[in-house]
Amino acid sequence: MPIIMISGAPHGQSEALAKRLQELTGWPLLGRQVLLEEARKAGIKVGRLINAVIRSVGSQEKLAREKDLYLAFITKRLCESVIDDNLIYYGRFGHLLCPGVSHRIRVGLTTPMHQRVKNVMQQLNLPQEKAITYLEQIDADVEKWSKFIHRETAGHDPRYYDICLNLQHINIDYAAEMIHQMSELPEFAATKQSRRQLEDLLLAARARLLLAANDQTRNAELGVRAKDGVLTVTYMPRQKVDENTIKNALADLEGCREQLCTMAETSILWIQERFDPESESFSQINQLAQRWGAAVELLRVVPSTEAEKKPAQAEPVQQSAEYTGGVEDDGPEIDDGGLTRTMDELIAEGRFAGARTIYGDKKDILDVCQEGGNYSLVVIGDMFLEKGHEARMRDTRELAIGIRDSIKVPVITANEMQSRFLFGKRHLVRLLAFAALVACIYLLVFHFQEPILSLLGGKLHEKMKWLSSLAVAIFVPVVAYCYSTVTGLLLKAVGID
Amino acid sequence: MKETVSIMVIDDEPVVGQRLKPMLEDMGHQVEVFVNPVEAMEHFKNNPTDIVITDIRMDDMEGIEILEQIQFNHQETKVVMITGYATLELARESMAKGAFDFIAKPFKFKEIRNTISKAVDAIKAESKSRVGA
Amino acid sequence: MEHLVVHFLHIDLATALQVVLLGFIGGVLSGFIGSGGAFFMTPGMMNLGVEGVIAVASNITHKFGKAMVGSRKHGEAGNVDKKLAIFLLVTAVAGIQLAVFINSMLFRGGTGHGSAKGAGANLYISIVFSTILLFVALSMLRDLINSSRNKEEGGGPSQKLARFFKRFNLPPIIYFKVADIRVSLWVLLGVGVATGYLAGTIGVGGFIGVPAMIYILGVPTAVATGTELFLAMFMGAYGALSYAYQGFVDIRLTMLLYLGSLLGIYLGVFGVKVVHEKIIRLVTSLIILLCVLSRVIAIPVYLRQLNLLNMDPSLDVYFNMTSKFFLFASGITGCLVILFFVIRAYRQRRGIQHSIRVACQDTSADLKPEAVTTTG
Repeated sequence: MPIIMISGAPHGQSEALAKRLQELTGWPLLGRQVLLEEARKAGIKVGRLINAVIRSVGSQEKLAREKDLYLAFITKRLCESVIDDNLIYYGRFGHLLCPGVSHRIRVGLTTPMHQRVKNVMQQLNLPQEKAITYLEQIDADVEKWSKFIHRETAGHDPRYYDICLNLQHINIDYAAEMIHQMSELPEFAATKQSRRQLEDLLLAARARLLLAANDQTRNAELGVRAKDGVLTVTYMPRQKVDENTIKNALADLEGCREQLCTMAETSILWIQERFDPESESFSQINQLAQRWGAAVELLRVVPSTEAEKKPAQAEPVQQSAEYTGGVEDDGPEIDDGGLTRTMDELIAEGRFAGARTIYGDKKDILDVCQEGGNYSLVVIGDMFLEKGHEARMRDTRELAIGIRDSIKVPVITANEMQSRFLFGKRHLVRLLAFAALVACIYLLVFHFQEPILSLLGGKLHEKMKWLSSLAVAIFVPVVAYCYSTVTGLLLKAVGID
Repeated sequence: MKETVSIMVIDDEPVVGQRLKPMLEDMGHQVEVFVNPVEAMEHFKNNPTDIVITDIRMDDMEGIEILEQIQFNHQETKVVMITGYATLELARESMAKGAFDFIAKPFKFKEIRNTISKAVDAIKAESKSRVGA
Repeated sequence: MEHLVVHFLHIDLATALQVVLLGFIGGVLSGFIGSGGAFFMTPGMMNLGVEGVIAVASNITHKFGKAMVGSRKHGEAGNVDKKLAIFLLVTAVAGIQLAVFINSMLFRGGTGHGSAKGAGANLYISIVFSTILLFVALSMLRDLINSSRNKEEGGGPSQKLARFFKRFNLPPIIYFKVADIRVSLWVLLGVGVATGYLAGTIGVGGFIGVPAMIYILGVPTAVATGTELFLAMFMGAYGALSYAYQGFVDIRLTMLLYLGSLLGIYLGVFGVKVVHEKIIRLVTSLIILLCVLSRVIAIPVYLRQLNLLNMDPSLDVYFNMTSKFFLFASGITGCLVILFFVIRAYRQRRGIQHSIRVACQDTSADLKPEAVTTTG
């Protein structure tokens, strides 16, 4: 018997379908609204998330943790609501919840627009025109929400569902009947493995919520994973947590066979002046980190000349515990060069190892690298932005060499990372053509040595001295150019460039 | 053209008004705070303000109702909805019913400050066009 | 017209290969330290039986194209400050003219680039050469040792002199974008004329120009190298055309040199990009030192010729041989050291790039595990 996850657009018939299914099966029912309300009561700042979606402000805010908690809470409540392997959940992105549990039936429900418009007109007391605009806007919001919270954009992709139902021609009763029949298929019966997976999800979610509730671990960046009842918490080097604080925080955790705390071993240090989570470099570094299981530490460098104009960075203000009725003090307002947004993105990926801003020059960067943890790679992104292109490239390169020499760790510049293997077919053709040309020139010269030498220093030269000058002036650069093209391409082919 | 506008804050939690009032006054506006929405609406009938900041979920009267009433009688008043029970639906519903903006709680001062500035700008622009016409 | 009796050498395969090798070594050196082709290749070719003038002429012709290629490559890497080069070129030419004038006044016999006649001139040149370059090399070495001892300076070249000259902030101050330095025009003029003068006297430009740019103007090491090569292009062009006019250029030799040097120069330039800047300075000073040694050893011969020293003339041969040995030793060791560092850096880089490439390819496959695995 499975868990049924119904995903449908707002003001559709998901709730009606869920209720009909409950009548048929008697399984427990859970709706999105209820979960949201509970999450709010549990202290998760859902409002922040909603603000971020409807008012594209707050991009500077650290919301990744809030998102994590929200998802953890929903997962926990979902898993806890399952009785005898059964649950009916209806919401917008149910199909994305509880990944990897095979006794889920993910139902994609499409309600015809006219029906939704009718629902809105009734429920919200809006005229038809406004109801349509309203639905258009809310659909766009929901799309944003999915991208923001679930990091998925393919909400309508049928690949994500086990069954997609369109209520244009069939009615709710029929749809419910179909799902009910489907739920009796052996394929959707709970297995030992799928139950285990559900338990693991619950365990990880609970652990995450406990860690967030504990004062000592609240602000730490922790990776939480559960597998076969074994909970692994990964903490990043140079944080104010260690194994003991984590174990203390998790003392009340139920259903845990074993707890492991590990420090993230490999980390990548990314040095840059301004960060952008949408950049090519970011996705590459992120991919690399994913592959290596490494965490990424960010180091933002503000050139010292700029630093003189600015006061030192303020420490983040501790939120006062006083009740504010939801009206909170402003945090410090600083332009942090995209650091927070990038951090957020990394936290969401679970590979955040820390971030720092330093004011200074190459020497200060070297100092930081030396006191740093055990990096497995240092990536130098766009640095020395206020200098000219050439000086920037050179300084970046020198910084790379300096870091490599001082901490004996591979260093790569973002440019190098982006230039994958550059030697293509066109290069080969060019190489061959120029090689042939050079061979011809050399053969000709060495075949007709006498007339050439006569021109350069023999009888012919005597008559027309200027001609040899002219010949040299034209010929030498041509030979040099052709042959250097050949050698350059050859070396490029083996990766020396 | 006036720089100062009048603002009414309606929230059944006193702390919200207590925190918003000094901030809005710092911006140079006249602020009245109400904890009871029914009283607030009574007062509003005789003393309409330029901006109303209202909570949505209150015991005696829903924020959406306040919005609808104000929109019916005083279209030029900008209504800003703030709520701790925000959903995307509620936000869009408010906007569809003519709210100037919708802010979910918890929010930071700067968010409401931005919204109020925008509302003041809109009021100014409207009064200008009225004078011009 | 005496030069018509010039005989161009018959080139067999063995000679050709040796010329190519000479070219390669010279190329690596000049790509890496910005100079060093001429001091090494000219004597090298003469050893193979090429007449002095022709060796010089073919070499300078070769320098023209080599510097062109090298500076283009350096330019791509952001190591050539053309504006700086032009300023230095103009002032250096003035300095060279000054050198020629003074030297010809000193020695009526006339001294010129590489074709000095008379032991007096030779002695004078050798002494100036040795003292100045010894001073340059030793200061560079001392600076290297100092900077590696105290990490506080960040290991860069000493900025003491540069800072000292910076105090002459007599307007007009000129900003050089690529080198990222600000220098008073007057300091620049002084440095240009002085290096030009010294270069004109001892016949080796880069050995003076590169350290002068690094220490006096405060130019980053890599830019000093690249800019020197850019300068050398003009010098080479000028030399090549005038020698060709006189009919001394053996284009075959030049072409054979290219075969080696254009490969070498790319390796050298690559080296500048991947090797620590300290090593560039270390190698430069090492090579200069060995060159100085070679020249110092030759001094007794000149002294004897001037009857200032009592010495058996038959010993001349040994002195000359030892001198030559150190000259070649400096070139070859320099080249080997550079190649060692280049290969090491290359392998490191290859390793990183390989692992990164693997990582980037593999992850694209498992981007959406959920959608792929559970649809069935």
